[in-house]
Order: sequence, then structure tokens, then C-alpha cells
Amino acid sequence: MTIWTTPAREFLEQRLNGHRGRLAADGAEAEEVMADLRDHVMQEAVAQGLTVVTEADVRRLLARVEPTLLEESSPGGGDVRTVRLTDPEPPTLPTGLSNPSRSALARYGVELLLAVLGVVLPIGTILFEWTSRLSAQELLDPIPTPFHGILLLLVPAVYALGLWFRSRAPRRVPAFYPWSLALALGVSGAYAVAFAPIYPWALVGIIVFGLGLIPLTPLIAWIVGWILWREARKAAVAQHQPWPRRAWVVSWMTALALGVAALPDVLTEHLIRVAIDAESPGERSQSVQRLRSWGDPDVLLRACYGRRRALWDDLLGRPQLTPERVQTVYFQVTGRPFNAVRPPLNQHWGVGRQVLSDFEWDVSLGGEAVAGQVSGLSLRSSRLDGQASVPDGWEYVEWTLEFQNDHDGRQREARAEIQLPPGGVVSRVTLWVHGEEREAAFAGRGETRAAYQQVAVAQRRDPILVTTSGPDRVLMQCFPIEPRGGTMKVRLGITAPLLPVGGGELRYVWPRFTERNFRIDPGLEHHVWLEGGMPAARVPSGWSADAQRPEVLRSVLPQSVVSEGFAPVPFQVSGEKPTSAWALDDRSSPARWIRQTLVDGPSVSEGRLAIVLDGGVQGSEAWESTMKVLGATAARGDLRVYVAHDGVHRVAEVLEGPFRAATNQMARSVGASLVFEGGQDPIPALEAAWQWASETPRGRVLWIHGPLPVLVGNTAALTQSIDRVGDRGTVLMDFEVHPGPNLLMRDLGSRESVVIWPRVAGLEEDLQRCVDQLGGIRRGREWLREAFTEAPGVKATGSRHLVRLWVRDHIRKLTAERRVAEAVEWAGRWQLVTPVSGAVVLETRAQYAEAGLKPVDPLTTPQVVPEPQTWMLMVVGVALLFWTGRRRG
Amino acid sequence: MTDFFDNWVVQVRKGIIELCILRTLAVRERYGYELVKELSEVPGLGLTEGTLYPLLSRLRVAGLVSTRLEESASGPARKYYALTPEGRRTLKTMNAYIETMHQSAQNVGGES
Repeated sequence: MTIWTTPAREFLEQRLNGHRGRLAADGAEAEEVMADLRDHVMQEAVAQGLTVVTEADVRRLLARVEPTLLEESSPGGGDVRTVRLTDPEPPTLPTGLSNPSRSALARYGVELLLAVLGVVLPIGTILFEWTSRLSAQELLDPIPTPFHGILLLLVPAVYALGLWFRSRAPRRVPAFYPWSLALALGVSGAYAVAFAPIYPWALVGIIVFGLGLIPLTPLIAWIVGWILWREARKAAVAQHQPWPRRAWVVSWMTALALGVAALPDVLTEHLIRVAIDAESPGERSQSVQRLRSWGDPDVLLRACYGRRRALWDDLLGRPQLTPERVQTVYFQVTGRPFNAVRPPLNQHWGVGRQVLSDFEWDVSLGGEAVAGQVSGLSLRSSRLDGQASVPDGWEYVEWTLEFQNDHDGRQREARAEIQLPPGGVVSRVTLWVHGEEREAAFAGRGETRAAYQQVAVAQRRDPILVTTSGPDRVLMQCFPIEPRGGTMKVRLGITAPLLPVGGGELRYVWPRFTERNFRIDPGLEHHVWLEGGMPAARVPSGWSADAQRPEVLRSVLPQSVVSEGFAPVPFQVSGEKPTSAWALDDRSSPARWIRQTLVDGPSVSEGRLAIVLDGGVQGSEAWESTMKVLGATAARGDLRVYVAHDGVHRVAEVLEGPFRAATNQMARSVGASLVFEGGQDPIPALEAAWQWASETPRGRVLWIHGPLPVLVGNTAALTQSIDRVGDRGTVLMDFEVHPGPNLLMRDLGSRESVVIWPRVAGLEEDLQRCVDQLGGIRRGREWLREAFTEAPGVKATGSRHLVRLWVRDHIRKLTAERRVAEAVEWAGRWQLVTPVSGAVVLETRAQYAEAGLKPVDPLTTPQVVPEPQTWMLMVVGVALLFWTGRRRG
Repeated sequence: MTDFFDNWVVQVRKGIIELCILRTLAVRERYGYELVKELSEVPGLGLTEGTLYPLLSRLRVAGLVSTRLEESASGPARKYYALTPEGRRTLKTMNAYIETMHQSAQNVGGES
């Protein structure tokens, strides 16, 4: 064991430091050479068996090892001129700084600068980004996961540690430090590369505006890290501390790992752009296919909400992608409407910041699209009051909905597309204004929408608008629902025929949401009450009949149970006596008598049947059911089965044979080339099917599909074919697997040859009924409504709802004959929402007057209690006059 | 004459020492102290520790030698020097050159 005295150590250091400049002059690293010489002198001392090394020993050893070290070097350092050391003189400062206080000051300044740039700036930037989400929304998200956040915080932490080690003497670092420093360098390096494209703009920002340091932070941090690395390594070499040779591998691996982690994000962004912008359809289709395999659904969903970090597009001079176009791609990739899933939160396991909360800015306000769910808006209560007359064959339901907006600062518009009972029509719209019920004005579609937009969007007062949205569907929108707990309560009254399903059974079908922009808590309870006039044939699960009045059914149904819709309630009518009812149209002049009769539907067996199946993810279930149904049916004739999947696939054909023969052909095509994936464009397959089916009279196209929230292709050719089919009687039957938006039907809308198949049971049961009916082996039942100008021999005791249903049919006929003004007049007289008319509730009389509208008299609206007939109103009026007269007398 | 010879020796020795270092390390890696002791015994080389370490540092900076540290029971950690692949290639070139130079010098002497 050799002990060095302090003077000996100091003398050696003084000699070595004094020659630092000369040692570095010929290309060697001064620190290293000094360390080697120090080491050598120490080894010499050991070799000579010295137990205590004094200053004199050092002089002696240096004289032997390197005599020039005993000479004093010139102040210039590197000059070979030397003088023999006679008297000890103060050593020359290694850096050439002659003033020790200035040197210390400079050194302190450097340390301070490193601390500011390497520790304070990164921490400040991380906190700024965490709270503002600026980069996450405009450029790239530097903290997509909590793990990224920890890695980023590691950088200033390691640098702070490094600066602390530098301040200590000697500068010894623990063994873990090189590895952690390498990790920090890898992290800052990866982010420096990621932000590199924006540096020119950041520099311009700094020079011109004095702003822009934040994007440069990763680069600055990397430079500070590199300085710390270099210095620490030198110090370690100087002190013969081991420095891991492969530490830099950690740097590269960290940067690589971060790059790989970001790859799905970058790749998805790129593929979205190709899927939209590529010129060739093949390239676009291929990109969609790749997105299905490798795309990040969260990135895709963010882009659907317009969160694409569009700044890159600006910087790179690319055209921006609109959310609507990305929503189309989302459907093609996932097969679901983008607003059917919860907006991306960017949180992992509930930890981390909420980068993209919900839909903050509602771009569809006042528009005709339901669009994405907006934050804070939810359904607070739901109440359905139903009424039916089974012998007369009509139903009426009032759906009262109350919306609540819990957003901190934004007013919200509630929008929902509602599927009506088959053949139904909205006949009453009510809005509660300051606790009072206000009835709607019914007028032309354009007039009501203009009034709504003026009052809702411009004046921000309380209106509600209801318009049709395709066959048997309406769009309801109300605005504004005030923030911080504001509510808005509305009521829709819907008149519809009871649905005949055969075997003397009529079903009471409820309305349901197909699309909405508000949240419904799974635990929200729908309070349902139905007075059918007679006991139900079967009481649906979860319902109960009143003990005293068995014709009354009640239920409280949680949303989780009715997410696919409320269960229809069946009623049985006598099969012997045909159901027929008369009602008086006393609002028209001259008056009309309306008769509704349940009759057999037309026979449809002679035409061709083309089935078009959805080739998207939603079609897989329908494919199985169709195979079973075709295998079980006794129907015969000409049948073709098409699948809409990246174009048209004809998977089966039967000519003048049993439909069940198609199942073997269908089974062969699955797995070979047919995979149900994404969302598919049905238009090419429907065109092919329509073309084939319409070659013979009374051809039928049965389109079985999931929700179609976007139209990928162009409908022009299909609508032309449907419009020009002439009197061949071809029918397109729309069969929905699950409730959801259907833009094609919205386009095809009110055409006579387009029919919606009512879904009232399970998929297979409904499909079996549909195929049997279209195959001609089951005769459907339907309502026939007729108008007479002569009074019938029987008393017209039927409800006005029958008149409303006839008027609905009549308006459709008038519209087909292009007698729109007449149709609007009928709709206004009978207060109906039809393809040509809408309903709007405004807040004040002045608003109605300004819009040229008149709200309906509350006494003329339908309600769940029996409507007063005109004669009854007159009796009540006379009685009142008599009573008041007697009181005065 | 003596000054001229001294200067000539300095110039010749400078290149030769680097060649000797590389040749020594070509056999096997050595730690600094060991290398100095070995080379200082080479007659005519006149090598001191003060000369060797800057040369080793310069060779390392040039990428011709690599270093590694190994703990020593008897004193400070030993710094081992080894030839890099680049060092081996350079040594080969230097050997060929010195051989040629030597032959040429011999031939020139023979002709005179």
C-alpha cells in the first residue's frame, strides 16, 4: 500500500497541469496523457516499494520518468521553448486564462448555461406541452403515453445529476451514470430528429418574433447531453475510471425504440393520405387494405374529428384532408361509423393526460348530419307514452327526451336520427320553453330549416327542428343547450300503422335512435307505458301488465338492454273478420272519409331475386343467417347472390331451381377469396343486382347490410337505373342487420320502388320472413288506405291517426307527381313531417312572424289520451258558455 | 557535425518510435507501463515515458490503437493498448514502406 502525501499529490498535479498545453500541442489529448503520466508515476512509486510518497519522491520520479515536467513551460503552452526550473513558480493555467477569478466566473457561467438549457428548458417545455397540448394537436404528440412522459423527464433528471457530478472534486461518476446518460441522449436525439422538419420555421420564429424555442428544445437538450457525455468520459479516462465502451449502443437502441413506437402513427397518417389522395383507385383500395392490417385506429379516429396535426400539411405544402373524407376512410377500414365509438382519449389505463378529449368544436351545428359525439352532452331522461287501437290498426307514441349539457363553456346542439315505426310519420313536436309546452309550426322543409338556422345558430334562442332523413327516419335537432348543467326537453309524437306480421298478429313497433351526437349512460332508464286497448298477445321480457288493467303495459328499461331498440309488443286480431276502420278528414274541404283495411300483399313470386350482401365486418353475421335461411326455404325461381366487397362478387346463381341450391355455391366462396372486413361500398353490387333483376318483370333486389354512414361511391348510375326502370315493377328491399345511419337510403329516399323491410324480430327470423315473402311462398299482409268523398254507410269512428296515415301516403303520391306545393299544404294542414315538410318550434311569436310561420293550435295536436272530436269540442264550448252565463246571472 | 547528427536522429527516431509501438502491439496488447519498459530497452530508440504517452494518445485519436481499462490489485487500473484493424492496415503499409526505403537506401549506397 502506497500513501501519497498531499504536497506530493499537489506537486504532481501542478507539474502535469503546467504542461497541459504542450502535451496537447502535437495532436494528443492532454487529459489522457496527463492521466497516463500520473498513472505511470504511481506505478513507478509502487515498483520502487515506496510506502509514503513525498514531494521529493515525486521530483525524483519525474526526473527519471519525464524530466521536462520539472521544467516550466512557456505561457503559450505549446511552444517547445523550456526553461530549467530553478524556483517554484505558480503553474500556468491550462486554458490560457491568466486570471483565476475570471476563470471561475466563466466556468460558473458555463455550468449555469448548461443547467438552464439542459434542465430548466426541458422541464419547462414538458410542463408546457402537458398542459397546453400544443404540439400534440398541431405537430406530433411527444407524450402519447405515461411511459413517454417518464422518458422525457429522465432527460433533465440525468443532466441535473451530471452537472452535480461535475461540481464535485474529483469528478467521479457512479457506474450507472454512463448508461443513463446514453439513454437520455437517445431520448433527446429521437425527439430532435422528429422535430427536425420544423427547425427552419422555429429559427425564423426566434429571429423574427423571439418565439420558437420549444421545438428546438430536444436538439438543445441533445447538445447539452453530448457535452456532458464528452466531459464525463474524459474525466473518467483521466481518473482511470472504466467507461462502458458500448454505452452508445443504448443511445441508438433508445432512439430506435422510440422511432419504432411512433411508426404506427406515422404510417397511419401516410396511409390515410394515400387512401384519399392517390389518383388510381387500385392504390387507394390497397392503402385501405393496409390500414386494415397496420393502421392505428386511434390515429384514424382522431383524424375523423379533424385532429390531424394539420401544421405538417401547411409546412410541407400539402392540401389538408377534411374530416369528412377521413370519416369515409374510417368506415372503409373498420366497417363502423366513426361516431359509433367513443372519441379517442389518448389515455392509457386511465393514466395520463387527455390530449384529445371529446369533440370540442361542433362543426355540424345547424347542419343535416348528426356527426360525432360532442363532449358534455348526454340524454338525461327518456319517456315513451304509447297508445294503440288494435282493431283500427294504428299506434301513436310520444317520446319525451331531456338533454343535459355538462360542458364547462360551450352551448350544445343535440342531434339524433330516429328510426320511426314502419310507415310512421311525426305528427307532433313539442318543446318546453321556460317550463311551458310550445307546439311546432309545420311548413315546407326549406322554410322550417331556414327558420331554425336563423333562430338557433344566429340568434342562439331555443328552437327544435324535425325533418325527414330517408324513408321512415327523421332528424331531430335542438339548440342551444346551455353549458354547466343546462337542459332542454322535447317531445316527438309519432303516428304509425300497427305492423302486420302474419297469423293475425299486429306488432306495436317503437321508434329508436340510429345515430346520435350525445352520450347515453348505459344505466339511463327509459320509462315506457303502453295502452293497447286490449291485452298483448305476449308480454315482452322486462315488461309487466297492470293487474287491474291488463291492456296497460309498463316497463323501466335501462339503456344497456335497449341499445338495439325496444322490443315490439304483439297483439292478436281475429282472423275471421277483416280489420277495417273509417275516419273522417274534417280538416279538408270537402271532407273525406278514410278507410284502412288489412289486406293480403301482392304476390311477388314471378320475378328474379337478387340478394346483395354486405362484404364488410357487419356482413359476416348476415352471411351466416342468409345461408341458413336459403337452406331452409322452399322458394324456387331465379336467384343470384352478390357480395359487395371491393367491387362485386357473384357468389351464387340458381336458375329456375330451389333457392337452397345456392348455399353450396356460397359455402365454396367463403375463405377462398371472400373475407368480411372493413366497410364496403355497396353501390357496384347493387347496380349489378338491379341490372339483372330488372331484366324480368317484378324483379326484386334484397340488400342485406350493416350501417352505411358514408357513401364511398357515386350513386348517380344506381339512381338513374331505379328512376328509369319504367313499369317493370322492380323493387329494392332494404334490410338492415343492425340499426345505424344509411346514407344510400337517405339519397334514394322517397322513391316508390325502394322499400324498407321492418325489423321486428331476430335476424334469422326476420330474414326468413323476408326471403319467404320475396320468394313467393308466404303472402304478406298490408294496410290499404283509401279516401272517399261520399259518406260511407257506417259511422266514421276511427281516430284521426288513420287520416294522418292516409295523408302521409297522399303526400308521397303528390311528391312523385311533382305537386310539391300541394303536398306541403297537406302536410301543414295535418301537421306532419314528410320529405317535403318539417316541424320547427321557435321561442317567441316575433320569431314565428319573422319566419312567416304559425305554430299549431295545441288543441289540434294528437296526444296519448283520446283526441277530442270536433263535435265534442263544440259541446264543451257550449257547456262553458252556459256555465259562465249562469254564474254571471 | 554533432548538431546535424542530433537533429537527424530526432527526425529519424520520431517515425521509428511510432512504428515500433505499432509493431510491439501487433504481437499482443500491452498496458502502458509495460510498453514503456519494453520499448525503453530497445537500443538507440531513446524512449522516455514523456515521449511515449503523447504518441500513444495521438495514435488512439487517429484510430490506430484502442484502449481498455482493467483493475489492478497492485496499483491504479491498467490501461491496455491494442491495435485496431485500421492500425494493422497502417502497420502493414508502414512496414512495406520502410522495407522499400531501406532497400532503396541500401541500393543507393551500393551504387555509390
